[in-house]
Parts: sequence; structure tokens; C-alpha cells
Amino acid sequence: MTRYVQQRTSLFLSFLFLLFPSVFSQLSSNQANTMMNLSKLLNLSDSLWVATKDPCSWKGVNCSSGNSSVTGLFLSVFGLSNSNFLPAVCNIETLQALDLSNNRLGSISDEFINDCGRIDGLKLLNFSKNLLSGPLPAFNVFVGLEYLDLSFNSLSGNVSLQVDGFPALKSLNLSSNNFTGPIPVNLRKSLMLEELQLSMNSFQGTVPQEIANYQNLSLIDLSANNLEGSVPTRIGNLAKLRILLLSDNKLSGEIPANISNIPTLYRFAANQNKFGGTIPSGITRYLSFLDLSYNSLRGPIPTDLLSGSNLQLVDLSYNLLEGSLPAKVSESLIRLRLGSNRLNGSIPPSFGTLDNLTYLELDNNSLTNEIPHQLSSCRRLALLNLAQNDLTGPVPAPLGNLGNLQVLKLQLNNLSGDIPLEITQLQLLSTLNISWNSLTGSIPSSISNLQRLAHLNLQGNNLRGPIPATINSMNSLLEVQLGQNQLSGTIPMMPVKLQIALNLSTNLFQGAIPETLSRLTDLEILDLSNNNLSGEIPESLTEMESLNQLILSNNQLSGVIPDFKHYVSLNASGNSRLINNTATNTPQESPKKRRSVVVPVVVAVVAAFLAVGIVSIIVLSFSRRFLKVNDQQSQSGENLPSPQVIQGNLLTTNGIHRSSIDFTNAMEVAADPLNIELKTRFSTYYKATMPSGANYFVKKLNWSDKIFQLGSHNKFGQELEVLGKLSNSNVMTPLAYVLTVDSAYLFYEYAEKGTLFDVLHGKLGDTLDWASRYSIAVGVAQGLTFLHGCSSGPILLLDLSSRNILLKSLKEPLVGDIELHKVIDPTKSTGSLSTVAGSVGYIPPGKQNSMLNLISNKYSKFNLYELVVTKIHEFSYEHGYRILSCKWFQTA
Amino acid sequence: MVLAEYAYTMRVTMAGNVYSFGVVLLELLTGKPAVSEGTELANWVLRNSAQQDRWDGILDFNISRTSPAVRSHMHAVLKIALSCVSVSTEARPKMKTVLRMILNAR
Repeated sequence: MTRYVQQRTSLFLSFLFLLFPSVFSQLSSNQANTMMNLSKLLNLSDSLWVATKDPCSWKGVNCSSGNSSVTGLFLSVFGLSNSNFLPAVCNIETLQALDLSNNRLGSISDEFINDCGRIDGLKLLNFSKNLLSGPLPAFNVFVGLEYLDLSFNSLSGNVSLQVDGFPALKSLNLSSNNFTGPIPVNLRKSLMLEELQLSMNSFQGTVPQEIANYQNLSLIDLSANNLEGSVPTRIGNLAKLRILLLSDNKLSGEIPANISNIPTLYRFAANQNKFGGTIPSGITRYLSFLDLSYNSLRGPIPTDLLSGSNLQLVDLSYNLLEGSLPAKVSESLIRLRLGSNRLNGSIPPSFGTLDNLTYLELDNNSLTNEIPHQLSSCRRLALLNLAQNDLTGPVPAPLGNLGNLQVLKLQLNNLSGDIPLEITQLQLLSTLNISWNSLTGSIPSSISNLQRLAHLNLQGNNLRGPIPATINSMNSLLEVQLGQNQLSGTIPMMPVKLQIALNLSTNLFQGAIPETLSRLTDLEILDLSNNNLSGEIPESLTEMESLNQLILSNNQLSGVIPDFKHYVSLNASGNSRLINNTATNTPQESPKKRRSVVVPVVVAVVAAFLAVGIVSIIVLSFSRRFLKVNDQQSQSGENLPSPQVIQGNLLTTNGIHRSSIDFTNAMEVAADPLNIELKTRFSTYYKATMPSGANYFVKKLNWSDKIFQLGSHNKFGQELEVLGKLSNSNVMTPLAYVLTVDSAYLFYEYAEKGTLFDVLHGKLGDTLDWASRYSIAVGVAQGLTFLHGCSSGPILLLDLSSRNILLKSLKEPLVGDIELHKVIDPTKSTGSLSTVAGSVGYIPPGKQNSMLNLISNKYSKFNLYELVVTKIHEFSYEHGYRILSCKWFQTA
Repeated sequence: MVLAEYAYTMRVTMAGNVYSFGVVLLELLTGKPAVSEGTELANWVLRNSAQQDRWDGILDFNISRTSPAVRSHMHAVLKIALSCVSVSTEARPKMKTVLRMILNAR
């Protein structure tokens, strides 16, 4: 329809044009010609630039008043890929602004720079989000240029003299390129500079003193580079500075105290660095936003730190801060994150005066005493996380007044008393976790008032009595964790939407397993172990389509075990009257000969082990260095049991590999972080050169991450035996493995080119020609087809992405991480990554929406945007993705 | 670090693997990572692939410009990638079919 109208209109216009040629344009014939020429070069579709109309009416063309001259070209998202039109643009001598962002331009020619540089009035040049590569072009002579944006390209090399020719420059944005070398400070003529954005590059060296010479600077963004050293104190002399972003570098030393002298500064972020020492007092005098998370800051939080009158957001989480919480807190605070420090003392009752506080996170500290009931006055509170402290006393009943509360996390404290009925008034609550406390009494039947509740976790308390039958009406529930209590009675009807897990283990439930459980077709994990359940296992449970773990052990079940689908992992042990006639489901300890090779190397501290009496086991111990490194790696700093090697197991039948692989050597390699070759989402790869000279990858999976199933060494060994038999030239088959108490080490062929992601999107990107890319596509398809078609049942990949496809050569891919879906335990919902499978960008759309729904259920629209941006940032940081805008969220 | 409350469950399925493979194909074809500037590659390609005459704008220009033969081969593989990232699970081919299509792509 619109097309038709357009055609009609253009016909009509061309007719007019024939009659009255002078109507065509008021532009000088010179400019009109230039624009016509440009139109031909750009080869745009008719609807954008209608040749018969006045160019001033064309999309993206701005003209002076009276349409006498073209002043701006705004050609963002025009699908431009050929740069050959650029010199023609420079014929528009009246041009003031040129925006070519969001296209696919590969280069800026010297001709363009020479010609357009002469246009005195040209103030704005935007080439962001194109495909520019190679070194930064030398912009020698742009006399009037005020804004230069080259962000989000693939420009590389040093930045120095190229940006020397801008006497009027106010804003320089080079962020998200591949620039290296020092931060450019020889912008000699650009003393007008107000905004300097260099984030997301690989700039090295220190933050230069000279940056303080640009007295007009109001925005400095140096985040996500490789900067080291301390921040120069002169930065405090920048009297107009509003935003200073230093996040995600390797900066050290102390937080500069004299930023407190800058009255205009409202945002300061230095998170994800190596800053140490104590936090200087006074720095929040003028600030609204402060982020110092993920550093090594020590000592107490200065008493005035939270009292700045403009403060809205303070994030000090993941540091080593000690002492008590400051009692003086600014009423403007919206978000306070102090989690994962070493804070002690009580939560000050004065927090109750914070009318704007929406997010309060004090988890993983050593806070003591009762939860102050005054917190119930923080009416805006949407998220309250006090988990993992030493809090005592009851769950304060007045918390039921927090009508906006959506997430309440109090797990892993010493809270006692009953679950207050008032809590069940929280209409918006979607997560309630009071697990691992000492709660008594029963689960109130009014819990069904919580109609938004998706996650209910009360496990590890002393709750008694039955599960209220009203639970059946809680239609938002996805997860119910009630294990390790003294709950009794029969299992009631459960809401059909349950999906993540239903865990009723280690209670006093009796009666039969209800048939009605089979309605839970989305449920993935059902744990009824360690109860007094009797009768037969209902045949209908085999129809639960999503079920992949069924744990029924240690009950009094009888009868024949029904025939579950092969992918259901069933544990029904400890039911003496249960008959197993299929024999295929329960893993058997067949006495097959394991190709285990005991490595009889005993080093250094054997004597110590002798003393403890572990002589009989095959024990290897390692040098101090190994132990020490492992200790450092345990982030929590807890004293984990020292890693001991249990056994080195060869899987491969290939004689060359069998003779080359040297376990001792490999373990030493894996003890030294310097040998890390690459890191993927769940594992770390080390390059191990064996005494024979052959190279191998040693991949470390960390059990202590909690996402891997703990205590399942035997089972894991069996899985690996199966995987080790696979033979396909495009699949990374484990050749050998070593299991320690806290880690698993898997041995693979060495793939010298690294991951497909790094080769394709890193510096080598251009070298990968089509022949290689096609060969990689074929190889990955072959590997996957092989895995999906395995005779023993399909092997699925938990997280297929270009980050776990490794390259033996530029034409030979290997599909990696094939063991993950066997070892990741989705029930460990305390593990941070536990229920996340797949990387953003590789997950089919329906599934992703369910994540977004979860988020949107939980947080009010009011702060949703900020929250999602923060979370996406955290997620992207974790996974190396660089997500700056919220476009993903908006379009999803 | 993704906190548990932002996590979600997903069932790992063959069709899900085919989708992820489709994204890897798109990375090879476009030279772009799976997520950039906050936009998912698959979404971006699906949005821009409605008209076949705009497919050249999707492909990695540095690669597609090498020869017309390469370009048309890339078009053929792009067609396969698009079927892998179909929104509907049922519309996605099995891996075995995908492999055959890639080998036969001309």
C-alpha cells in the first residue's frame, strides 16, 4: 500500500518537475549536483532519496534555513558498505555535521581527510559502529572539528600524532576498538577537550599526569583497558570533571583522596581493579554514584562514606573491608551493595530512615545480632539480601510491611523462631530464601498468598508439620526446596508450573508417591530421598517429559521400578523391597578392566600422609607451590582441603598418547597460572609440554565452583570412560583424566590456534578466508552430527559457542566441552551459575524470554532498566562480552 | 557473575544445539560476534534477511568481496544458518540434515 502511494507520488512529482524545473531546489546548482552525484554513489533505495525531490527533503539531509545549503548528513543505519562516496561528501563546503554511524564502512580514505579537513565549519564527524580497521588515520587538519566519534570499530595500533590536529576538539570517542600503547595525551592543540572516551581498548601503561592539563574535561572514560599503576593525584585538579570511569583495568595503589575536591564530580567508578589500602574519607562529599567493587580495599568503611547528601548508589562489594557499618547513611541512597566483605557488628537501626532505598545487599559478611525491625520502614525496598552472615533472632514480622519487596534472601544465618505470617503478605515477592537457618514451627498455609513467588527455599531448618495443601494454588512457583526439615504427612498436590526442582528430601513424609506428580511435565529434578515413603513408584512418573533426575533413595518403596527414559538419572537405592528388572538405569559397578595407570610418584610430604594413615591409597602429593596456588584460587579464602591427586587415568588406546602423557608433569603445569592458555566459561586450559616434547591441553574443571556435581567422582569417571571411547576428528575427546578433591583435570590433544572466537573476532579475524571458514563450518557440523547420533544415546552440548570450538589448524575445528552436560548439577541453586546453561547470543529465543520474564516479574518497572543494565554488565564482564547499550533488552 | 535470581533454567535439547550451531555459522558468515553492542547476531540477521537482495549487507564484506563464487557460496550457507536459527523448534533441521545441506551448498 505505502509502496503504491510512493510510486504514485513520485510519478506525480516527476510530472511537476517537467513543468516547473525551478521548483526542484533552492540549493546552488553546485550543491544540487553534488547531492545527485552522492545519491548515485550511495545507490540508496528510492524511498530514502527520491531523486526528483529537493535534496533537503531527503532522509538524513539537513539544510540551512531557507534550504539554501546542505549543513548535515545523518546517514546512520543506511547499510553503507562502500567508502567510495566519501570524497564527494567533501564537496559540500557548507557541511557542519556528518554522521555515518552504524554502517559497514571499512576505511576512511586520505582523500576524504584532506578534502573534508578543509571545511572550516565541519564540527561533527561520527564513524562509530562501522568496520573500520587498521591504524587510526592521521587527521591532520580539521580546524573546526568539535566532535569525533570512531567508537565500536576495529581500529588498532598506537594513538598519538594522528589526533594532533584538532584545535577546537571538545569530544573524542575512540572506545571499543583494538588500540594499544599509552593513553594519548599529546592532543596539544585540543585544550578545549571536554570528553575523552577511550574505554574497551587495550591501552597500556599508566593514567598519565598530563591528563590534568585539559582543564575543561568533564568526562573521562578509561574503563576496560590494561592500565596499571596508581592514579595521578593531579586528577583532583580537574575542576569541571563530572564523570570519571576507571573500571576494569589493573590499576593499583590507593583510591585518590583528592577527588573529594571536585564539586562537579557525580560519578566515580574504579571497580574491577587492584586498588588497595583503605578508602579515604570525604570522597563521597559530592558524588551520586560510587562503584569500588571487586578490588582489594581493606580496613573500615569511613564513617562519612555513606552520608554524602547526593549519594544514590554505592557498591563496595567484593573487597576486604572490615569493621562495622557506618550508622550515618544518606537518605538519597537508592542502592547499597556491601556484599562479600568482612564486615561485622550489627545492622544499624538508622538504616530504617532510608525512604529511597530500593536495593540493600549486605550478604556474605560477618554481621551479627538481630535484623533490626526498623528496616521495615524502608518502604521502597525491592531487594533485601542479608544472606551468609551470623544474624540471630527471629525474622522480624514487620518486614511484612515492605509492600514492594520482591527478593528476600536471609539464608545461611542463625535465625530462629517461626516464619512470621506477616511475610505472606508480601504480594510482589518472587524469591523467598530463608534456607539453612534454625526456623521452627510449620509452613503457614497463608503462604499461598504469595502469588508471585517463583522460588521458595526453606531447606535446612527445623520446620515441622505438613506442607499446606494451599501450595497447589501458587501458580508462579518454579522451584520448591524444602529438604532437610522435619516436615511430615503426605505429599500434597503441587502447582503444575514447577520447573527447576521439587526437593522434599530428608524429611518425615510418608504414604505413597502421589500419581499427581506426573502432571508436573516441566519439572526437571524430583528429590524425595530419605523419607518414609512406601508403596510402588507410579508408572505415570515415566511420562514426566522434562524429568532428568529422580532421587528416591532411602525410603520404603516396593514393587518394580518402571521403565524410565534413558536420559533420566534415577537413584532408588536404599529401598530394600524395590525390584529392578531393567538393569540399564542404575549404573552398575561392572568389574570391567579400567585402564588406570597408577603413577607411583610420591614427593616431599609423604611422611605427613603416613602420619594420617592414608598410605594404602594411591596418593600423590605435590610441591608447596601447587598447594599454595590452589589456595589462592579459592576466592572465598576459606581453607579448602588440600588437593590430593587420587588417580591418573588413561582413556585413550593410542600408544603414542599413552606413552607421552606424564601426569606429574601435567599437574605441575596446571599449578602455575602462567601456563594458562585460555579460559572458557566453565574451565581453564593449560598447555602442557610433556617430557617427550608433545603438547597437550590440560583442562581444569573446578569442583568447588559448586556448579559441578560434588562427590560424584565415580560417576564422572564412568562418564569419561564412555566419552573417551568416542572417535571423531572434530570432537575433543578426553585422552586421560585426573580427579582431585576439588578439581578434575582432563587431557586433550593440543589445539594450537586457540578458540574460534579468538581467531574470528580477535586480531587474526581478517586472515580467516572463506575456504577456512567453510571448512570450520563443515567440521563443526560433522562433530555435532556425530555427537547427536551416538549409538549410546545423543550427547548434547550444554554451551555450544565459538568460545568452546578449538582450532587444530585454521581449517580443523574441534568441538569442546562435551562432558559438561554430564557434570553440571542444576540442583545446586546456591551456585551462582548453576541454572544457567548456554551463553547469551546462542540461546534460542523462547528460552531467553523466560529469563527476561523472571527478571521482569521480580523488579518494578521503576528500576528495571538500571538493574538489567547492571546485570547485563556483570554478565558480560564474566563472559568477556562487551555489552554497552540496553538494546538487547529492549528488542528481546 | 550471574546471581541466581537472574539465572534461568533451560532444557538442553538437540534443537537447542542446532540453534547454537546456527549462531556459529552466522559468526563465520558475518565476522561479527554472537552478541555485539547489545544486539544478538541471530536477531540482527533475522531482522535484515527478509529481503534476499539485502543479504550482501549481512555477509562479512572482507570475505564476500573476494569473488562472486565465494559470495554465492556464502549465500547458500547463509540460507542454512537461517533455518538453524528459526524461532520455531520444529522448523530447525536435524544436525544430520544440516551437515548434508552444508556439504551440498553451492
